[in-house]
Amino acid sequence: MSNVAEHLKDILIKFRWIVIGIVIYFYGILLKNEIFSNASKDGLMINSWDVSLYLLNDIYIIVYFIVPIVLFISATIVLSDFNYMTLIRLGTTKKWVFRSLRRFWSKTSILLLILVFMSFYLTIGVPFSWDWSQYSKSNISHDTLGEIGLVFTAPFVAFLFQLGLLVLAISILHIFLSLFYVTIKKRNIFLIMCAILFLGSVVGFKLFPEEYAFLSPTTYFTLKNFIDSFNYPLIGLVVLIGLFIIFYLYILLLDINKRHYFQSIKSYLPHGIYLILCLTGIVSISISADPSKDTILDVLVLSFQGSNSESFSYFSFFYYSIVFFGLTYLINLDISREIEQIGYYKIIRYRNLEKWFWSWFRKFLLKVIFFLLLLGMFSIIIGAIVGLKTNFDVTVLYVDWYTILYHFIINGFLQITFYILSVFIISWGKREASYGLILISIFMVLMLPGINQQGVIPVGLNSLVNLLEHSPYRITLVLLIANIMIYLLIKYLFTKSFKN
Amino acid sequence: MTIISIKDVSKSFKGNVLFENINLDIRKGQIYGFVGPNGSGKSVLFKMICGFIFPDSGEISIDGLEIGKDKRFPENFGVIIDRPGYIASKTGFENLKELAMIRGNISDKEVVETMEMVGLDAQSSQKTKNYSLGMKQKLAICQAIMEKQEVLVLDEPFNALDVDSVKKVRDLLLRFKEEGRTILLTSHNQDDIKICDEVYRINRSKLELTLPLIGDSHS
Amino acid sequence: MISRQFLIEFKRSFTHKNLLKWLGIILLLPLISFLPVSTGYLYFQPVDVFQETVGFIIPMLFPVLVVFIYLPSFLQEQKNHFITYTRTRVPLNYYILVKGLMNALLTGFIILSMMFFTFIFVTFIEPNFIQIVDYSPPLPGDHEVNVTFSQFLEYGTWTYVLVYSLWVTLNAIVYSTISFLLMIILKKSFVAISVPFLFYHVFNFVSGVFGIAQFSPLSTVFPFNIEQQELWTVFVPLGILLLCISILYLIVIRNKEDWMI
Ligand SMILES: Nc1ncnc2c1ncn2[C@@H]1O[C@H](COP(=O)(O)OP(=O)(O)OP(=O)(O)O)[C@@H](O)[C@H]1O
Ligand SMILES: [Mg+2]
Repeated sequence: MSNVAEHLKDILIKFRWIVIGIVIYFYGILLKNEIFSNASKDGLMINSWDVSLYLLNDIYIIVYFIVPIVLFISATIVLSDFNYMTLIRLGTTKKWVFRSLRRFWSKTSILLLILVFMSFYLTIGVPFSWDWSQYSKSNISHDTLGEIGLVFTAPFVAFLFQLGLLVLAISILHIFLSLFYVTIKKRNIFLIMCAILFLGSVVGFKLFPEEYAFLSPTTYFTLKNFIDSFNYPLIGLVVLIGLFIIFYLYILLLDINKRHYFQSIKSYLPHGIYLILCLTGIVSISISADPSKDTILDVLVLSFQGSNSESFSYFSFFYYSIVFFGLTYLINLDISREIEQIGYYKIIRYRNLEKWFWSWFRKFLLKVIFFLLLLGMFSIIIGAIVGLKTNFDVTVLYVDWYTILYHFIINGFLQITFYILSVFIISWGKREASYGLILISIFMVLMLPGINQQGVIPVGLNSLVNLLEHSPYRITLVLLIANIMIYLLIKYLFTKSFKN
Repeated sequence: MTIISIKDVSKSFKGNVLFENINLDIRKGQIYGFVGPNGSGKSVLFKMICGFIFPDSGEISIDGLEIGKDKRFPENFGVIIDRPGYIASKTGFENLKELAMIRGNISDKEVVETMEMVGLDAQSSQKTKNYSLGMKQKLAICQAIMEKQEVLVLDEPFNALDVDSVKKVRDLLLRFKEEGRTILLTSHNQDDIKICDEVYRINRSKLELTLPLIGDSHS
Repeated sequence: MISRQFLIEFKRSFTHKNLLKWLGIILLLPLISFLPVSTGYLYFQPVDVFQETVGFIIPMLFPVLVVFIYLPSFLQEQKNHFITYTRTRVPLNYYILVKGLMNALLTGFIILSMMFFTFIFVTFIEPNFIQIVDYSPPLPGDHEVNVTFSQFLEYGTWTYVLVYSLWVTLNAIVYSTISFLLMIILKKSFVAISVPFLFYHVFNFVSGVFGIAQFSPLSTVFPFNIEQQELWTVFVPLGILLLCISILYLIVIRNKEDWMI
């Protein structure tokens, strides 16, 4: 008795595919008749590829028939397979995603086979050729076949491309759904997502204007829509492969407790943002440079020109502030930690404030030199990447390259040292790092036009524009004196604070 | 030998603090019991041990490998957590076979043997959707033990079992212990807890060791 | 209860040190800003001097100015765990609420006074008593330089100054309130205090990179470095900040246990 039922069910399961085949067949007949009548009206020859490709590119059968079935298969597989018994045997969620994809294709491939088979089956009785037919080259059919014909030289290639596209797009769809479920683990939201995808594909091909068509899932299911939305099919492929890569990267993260990552990311975040900002400035300057006459050293000069009393532009002023005051700010963060948290324990160990001071200050100095070298290298490399001249001339300033580098590195180093020492004094004196902000703001004011006219206030002196008026060695002297004075002040403060 | 080590683990759900800096070492070849009122976090603890959810802080390592860093799900664990979901349209045997195929290290014969051990009919063509609660529970036990897993993490394994089956399963677990396997289980029944070497109570987000009532085999 | 606490807070904030600081901001800062722009520029009328004065040094100090008017006292209370001891005397959320309001009120009041004093100085004091600014009558070819907000000049200078000063005040309140809310949430008060500063300067740079300087914080709060923009542009960064405030506020009221006090 139950065996009969079993058999019946088996038949039903097989029958399901047959029903799908029959539906596709009858719909295909309609399409075929349409082609026949169109072609015979104008007396044009057709061949088997017309019928086959026309069916595969029919958006209605894709959206209202294939996509729902694919979504159904995908959803049932995801929901039935995601359970702890399977997971614990697989060992990682990553393996689960791939296993789910395999299981998905073991069913979906039948669907695709039926579709492809039907698209060939319908061509019985239609002449075969390796070339595009008269009909597909003519204007009437410009709608679907003509467009494809313009891009692909042979119909066979178009057919393969269509097949590949479908496989890729459907795989991505399933990977997306499985990742979505793994992430939220909520059945209802998952089903809503499936509904959204279906509606999105229905609405997508009807409503989205051509510029936004790449947002609609349907764009990726048929060659015709694909070609319509991307003037160049390769771009569309890049989009798909890009999605693939993003999903793959996400899969790599699936099995990791993200807390570890967040924590380490969080501690590097300020420095990361800072570096990105530094790079942004260099990149934007390199891009706006003129490759026909500017050199890679010009990028360095233009980026770090900064500002002084005579020449001031908001962009270089802001960029100078970001790079150098940004660095000062970050170091201030570290200094404040040194002073407020670990400082006292360490001070007791060192017994001597000056020793304690040098124990960490030394490291900052090294970091500053390293950082300046890095900046210089970045600007040269980025300049080279955007195709500027790779010689050591400087066209935007009448100065030798070694003067530029001397000023950039040595005076840059001295200038930053001065900033750090000043910020340290404030933080030390006030026992509160936030006052460093006031100091930085005052520094910024001192760089405004007309303020530091003699170039003796040791602020912003490492701006490369200073080379227009002052000798770099004079600037070195000013900065050295300033640093010595402020260091003496620190020494004085240290001895004073020991007396208390 | 420590198999599972829980270090400074905390876990809370939206302000509902379940665990706060708990520490525990699970040694090989022992049976551990976990008790606590409904909603105290027993299942959550087991899920963390198996890598199904991550702790908010602290770390859980299996054989020295940290979950969520060195690996995701522990190897060779037999697990019952929550009510298991089965492919409703398949028989119990088919369901188990499907799971066995994933690792492919046991034969059909061993699946059948395991089913008979807990008192399920492997030959029956009854679909799991028609299974009774106790039968489903037995199926869950089967999948947890059929591959001779080294560590068994069993959340309420005796749920819905009849008296005979409870006894059968208890004996089975004791036998596994003799074979050197490690077992973690929860139960609301004091009798089940008696087979444990160590029992922990979840109390105010901490684990408290409460010695077993009879037969203090560990000390 | 709240009003009483408010009064207490009010009295507590008027320390000698604070008064000195505030007077410095209201009276001294405009004078310092005035000096470098007093000569060497072509002015037709006092409001030009006002714009130059306000737009020169103050913009660079703005984001630290607004957080340092009142918040350091709160910072000290936080650091020394003073607030813990007030808890038995006044409900914590009242205390924090009053602090937040006080911060907004004082910051607003002092920035507004500073703006007004600048205007009064360049309009009444300077021409009558100091007279270092050269006013020249506009020649036929000269145009008025129009900046954002000078749309209001046609309703009179006072209207313009009032509207513009209120605008700066509003921004000041928003910036310092963000800091205040962050101080409650974040463990590191230094970061909380510096967020307005970072936002201000980083976005000045970033908007420059992307060629949308009309939306930069500098050019919307102190729109003297770019040509006149339509008024709605200035609400873009403010809108973003208001959104941030709303989110921060939600975080603050939803995580009462985690307040940094
Ligand atoms: N994914 C989740 N999201 C939010 N809350 C959860 C989640 N999982 C568990 N909880 C909550 O954690 C608490 C502990 O749940 P858990 O299932 O571990 O309890 P239990 O000790 O196993 O109880 P029982 O004896 O009833 O099985 C419950 O309050 C539950 O609501
Ligand atoms: Mg439970």
